[in-house]
Amino acid sequence: MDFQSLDSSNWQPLLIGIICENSPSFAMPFNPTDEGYPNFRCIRVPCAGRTNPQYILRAFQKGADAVLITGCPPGECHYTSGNYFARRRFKLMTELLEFMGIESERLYVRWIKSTEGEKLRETVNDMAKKVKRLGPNKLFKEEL
Amino acid sequence: MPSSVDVVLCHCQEDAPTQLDLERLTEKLNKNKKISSVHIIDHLCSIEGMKEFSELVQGEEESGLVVAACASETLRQRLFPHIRKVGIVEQTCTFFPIREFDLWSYRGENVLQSARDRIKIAVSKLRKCTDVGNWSAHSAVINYLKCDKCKRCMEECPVDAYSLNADGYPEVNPDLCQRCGICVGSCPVQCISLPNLRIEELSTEIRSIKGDGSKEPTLLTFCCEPLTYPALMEEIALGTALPQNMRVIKVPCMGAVNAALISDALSAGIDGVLLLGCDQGSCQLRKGSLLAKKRLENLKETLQRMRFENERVQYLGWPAQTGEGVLVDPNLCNGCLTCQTVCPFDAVTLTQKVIKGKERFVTERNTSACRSCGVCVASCPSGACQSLGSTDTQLLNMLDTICSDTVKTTSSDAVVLCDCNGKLEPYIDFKQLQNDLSKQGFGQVIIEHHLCGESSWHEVSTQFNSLPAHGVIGACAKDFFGSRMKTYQKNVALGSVRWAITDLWEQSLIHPTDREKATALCLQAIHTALAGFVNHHDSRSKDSSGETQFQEQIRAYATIISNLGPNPFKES
Repeated sequence: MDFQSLDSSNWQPLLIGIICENSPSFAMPFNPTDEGYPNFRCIRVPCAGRTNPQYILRAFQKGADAVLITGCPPGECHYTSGNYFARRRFKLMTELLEFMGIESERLYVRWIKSTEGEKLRETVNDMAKKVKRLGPNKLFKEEL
Repeated sequence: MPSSVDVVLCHCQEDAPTQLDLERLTEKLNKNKKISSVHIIDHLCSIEGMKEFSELVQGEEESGLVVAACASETLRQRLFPHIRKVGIVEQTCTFFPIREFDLWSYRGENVLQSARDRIKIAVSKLRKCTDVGNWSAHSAVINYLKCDKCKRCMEECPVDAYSLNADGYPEVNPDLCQRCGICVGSCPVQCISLPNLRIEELSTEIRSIKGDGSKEPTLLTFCCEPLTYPALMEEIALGTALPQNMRVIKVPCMGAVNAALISDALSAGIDGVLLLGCDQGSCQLRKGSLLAKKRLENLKETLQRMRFENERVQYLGWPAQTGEGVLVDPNLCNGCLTCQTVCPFDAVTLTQKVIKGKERFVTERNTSACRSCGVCVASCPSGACQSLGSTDTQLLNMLDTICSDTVKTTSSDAVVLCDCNGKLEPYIDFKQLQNDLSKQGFGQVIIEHHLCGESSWHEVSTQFNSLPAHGVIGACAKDFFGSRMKTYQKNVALGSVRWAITDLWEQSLIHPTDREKATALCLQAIHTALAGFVNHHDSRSKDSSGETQFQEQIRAYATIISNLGPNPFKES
């Protein structure tokens, strides 16, 4: 079963991004020194405020190991205040996930400006490292 | 202030109606003393192009940089890591879309001269800019040596970021300041500037406008960054020709245009100044459009004294953008008004409707105010709101697809791939991709070389056995190509197909050395695109049959100016 994938060092965490349209394109040229490109896949939403908490649960349910949500920094939202709603919502969401037994490190909410491609890259790499330590997400994953 | 300015030109004109000879342009630019060197890079967007670019900027710490290429926003995102690495600050680097302005929208004789003029404007702007150093100094900066405490800025700031300090001078609260520049435009002594919008820069920019040497009137157009500049770009992509000597300057908001700049421009010999701002009420930064109009009214008297016709300066409100919008299902809406509390734009209205025999209050969206950010959709407890551009089902479908790598395909789905004339071939295995896609049940998979040109689309249409219901386009930089392709598709009767676009270049950049992995990524991207089906600007292309409103307005304005005759100050 899943233990095998846990043991093998080849296991790559599946990182899902729900990314604001005004965040940078995630295809920044990765450094050759990075340990391979993490298995990061993303969908784009018009604004971080558009993200329904349901999406996060769905991603975990379908086998994501960590979820990243990005929006513009406070005060710079393209839609004036969408990111504030996101912030409030995900504060609660993190608490709920913790209550349910999911490590809080599996949900990342970050403010990344459209010009900060480098920062997005670092965040994703950092995420990959931390989640690798946590191991795969087994609590939620639907058995297919 | 940069001691020298370098110009980087990118070369890609496969589909352009006008051709620009970059060699001759380089020759001409080299004669300019302000420019230290000119480089031509073939396809900046490619991996080789980027490598060349990063090598080029390595040794250029002190100088300014003008990058003249295509879709500047996309490129900006891709090239900025290289620029940051060598320590060039953001202010000393300008990207400007030469492809859009000179190749797509220019219909005059002298394209070389026009391109040269535009580059010169950018260069002269860079020569004046200062390195603010602290890049985090994001708010408006006041020059206290000039300030006369008139408090105009306090009056007009839309977010009340100004307060008085102990000496009675205005002071900006950097946490509140949204950098709209309305105070820059309001200041009667021009002592306020934004880190990237100094009055000195703008006025040198305006003074260096020369035109392309023909007798067409020179028009200066201010575009606001959030709304009208992207809208103008899209208008160009759809095939609008701008007046020959129209020069565009980007400002954060129409409110940031100081009246002194306009009178400056007219006395510098420019025939007409056009403020291309938002229509009433749709200004994102609040108050900007209203203030700009009011200032123009006040300026009229001054202009009359200077013996200028009032018509030379005009405000043109861009018709409010019709986004996809949010649809409320009246049967589900329970009238809780959560949407009204969260809506950032006050777009929620309440109406009374008879539903299932009962009279109830349900909400509706004011389509002119709604900008489809989707905040209400995410907060709606009953699931009645759905944004049409990205519904919950679409997003969840996409999430499922990227998590599980499977997608439902039917034989009526088609994929059109573009290998950018073979340039993508080293990074992505197209044969493999084609095989994989056909195996997974895509009805038709077509590989083309120049999707950006109209002739390719003609070929695509002949290759289809039957008209597909959904199509995925895998091509390069998607931003403006998307709208440009729309017109082509219409011309070859593929307009009725629902198309989704995905960017293959982006995928190839992730794995530049590993062809297999890049191909797998592309496959996945195509899956996601099919699952999500986000339609790009569907609403706009519907009414593109006749002349668009913008085309009409801009032509009317150009005729007014040419009827007025040249600016009397021009000769002197």
